[in-house]
Amino acid sequence: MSKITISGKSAIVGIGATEFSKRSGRSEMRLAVEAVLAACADAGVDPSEVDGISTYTMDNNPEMEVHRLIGGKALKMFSRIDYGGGAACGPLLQAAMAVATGICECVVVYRAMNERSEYRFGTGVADRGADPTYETAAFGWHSPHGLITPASWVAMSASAYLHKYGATTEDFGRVSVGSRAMAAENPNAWFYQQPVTLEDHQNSRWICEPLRLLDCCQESDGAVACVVVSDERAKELNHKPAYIRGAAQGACDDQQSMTSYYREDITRLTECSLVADQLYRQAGIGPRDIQTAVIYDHFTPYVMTQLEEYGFCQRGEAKDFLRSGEHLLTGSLPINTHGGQLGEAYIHGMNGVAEGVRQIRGQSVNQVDNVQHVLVTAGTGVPTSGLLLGAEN
Amino acid sequence: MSNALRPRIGVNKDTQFFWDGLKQGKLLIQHCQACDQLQHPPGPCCKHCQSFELDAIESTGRGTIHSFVRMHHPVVPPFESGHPIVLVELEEGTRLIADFINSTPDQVFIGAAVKVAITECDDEVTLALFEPASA
Repeated sequence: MSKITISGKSAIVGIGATEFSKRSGRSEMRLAVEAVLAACADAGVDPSEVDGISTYTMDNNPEMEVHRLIGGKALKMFSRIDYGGGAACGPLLQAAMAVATGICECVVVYRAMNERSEYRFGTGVADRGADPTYETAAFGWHSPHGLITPASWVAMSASAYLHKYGATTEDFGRVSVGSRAMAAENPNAWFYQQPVTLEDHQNSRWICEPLRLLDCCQESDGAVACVVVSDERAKELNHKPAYIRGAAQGACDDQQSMTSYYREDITRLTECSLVADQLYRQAGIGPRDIQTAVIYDHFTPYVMTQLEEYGFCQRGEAKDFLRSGEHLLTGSLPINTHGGQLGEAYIHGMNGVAEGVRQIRGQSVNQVDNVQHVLVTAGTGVPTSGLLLGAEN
Repeated sequence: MSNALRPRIGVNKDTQFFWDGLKQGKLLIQHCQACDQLQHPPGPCCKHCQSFELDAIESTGRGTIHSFVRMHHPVVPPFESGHPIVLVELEEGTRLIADFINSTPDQVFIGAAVKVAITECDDEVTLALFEPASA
């Protein structure tokens, strides 16, 4: 049986971003174009070479318009990935497949949004109209009861997790404190030079118990883009390539979007385990071979769950991992070295992909030593995705 | 309570029976005639055996709190800050989300016995709210 793989056949060779703010003052399309042009310049490829684009269904900037504005000549692949931040690594999977199969030579992925200044996700879904679509019916099981925000959807699982494993909200706080410590060193982070303490976390106001304000990511304006080319082309360009050793998506186990309350064990993120298995098999490595990770942090409780599902600790033992500081720069697996979405910015996970690339290059403000592999994860509670970057292919 | 209306329910051809049931004072659970399994949320076919031969059973309305939250922010009328919302596991085995009413804080814990309180919230929306079993 032939073994078809995408592992090592493509690399992220360029990353670009706008500033991260609460009010960009520019159109989302402009943010998208700025980030894409910056990523192409970083890579050393002419934007007219871009022949593939993949982004999120939630992005408001059509691929054709971005391509037209950057001077693109021929767009041969355009695709969008659904489920909010769960998409994050999905466009990279699209890019890796397109490049590995020869469909495209130069694929750009981007996420550009004025999420804070123009439409805040955190306000919830209370004002949805009544229509007969699947999505409206699905929201209808929860929103009439007041469960209307992403924080509340996560809180329901988090509450069960605390009960089952004897973790505390201070463990959530340890995630928050760790990210803010990383962000404090990152001049591009919104919370640059603004670390917080566990006491600050515990004193922050309730959003939806058991989640406090400092358990929730920021809301941000900004854009991030990446350029993907073949492993061969990558060797000729500006930077040390961040090879795509694995890319995968996952949905399983009575999957719902943010409300998988009907699966047997609601404390799990089974879809993350599905992604992890694929990534490790594609790359031929395991969690012990990873030196640093970007663990999607829209809300702190699911960082704990992901540490377990991706195999960095046993189920229910993320609290011990955090209490011993393994997630800090001095620990065995520094996570979210850019400050995460709690500390740097909430760009739906694409800023985490960029940080993964910087760790491979050796360019992070919180650089980890001897990085061979970086795991990047995507939005959780939804159908999700993951990316495994390598220094070698 | 504020006079503001709750967020609307979403009704389609797969879920109509559930909402109609509530208007008749019944909490229904979708049942597969082929394999005898229950499922919630309902769908067009049985997720266990893919049969389209579905009907519904009436739940006893009794269950336990499988998980819960207290919603503080944002405050969206008619909801009040800090109100508990529970994930109920029914005696029959399926689960659903419910606004938890008529409770004191010490009655909201995982494992607590609860019962349904079918409530006409406005002309369009009748919901299966829940309350402590002792209420």
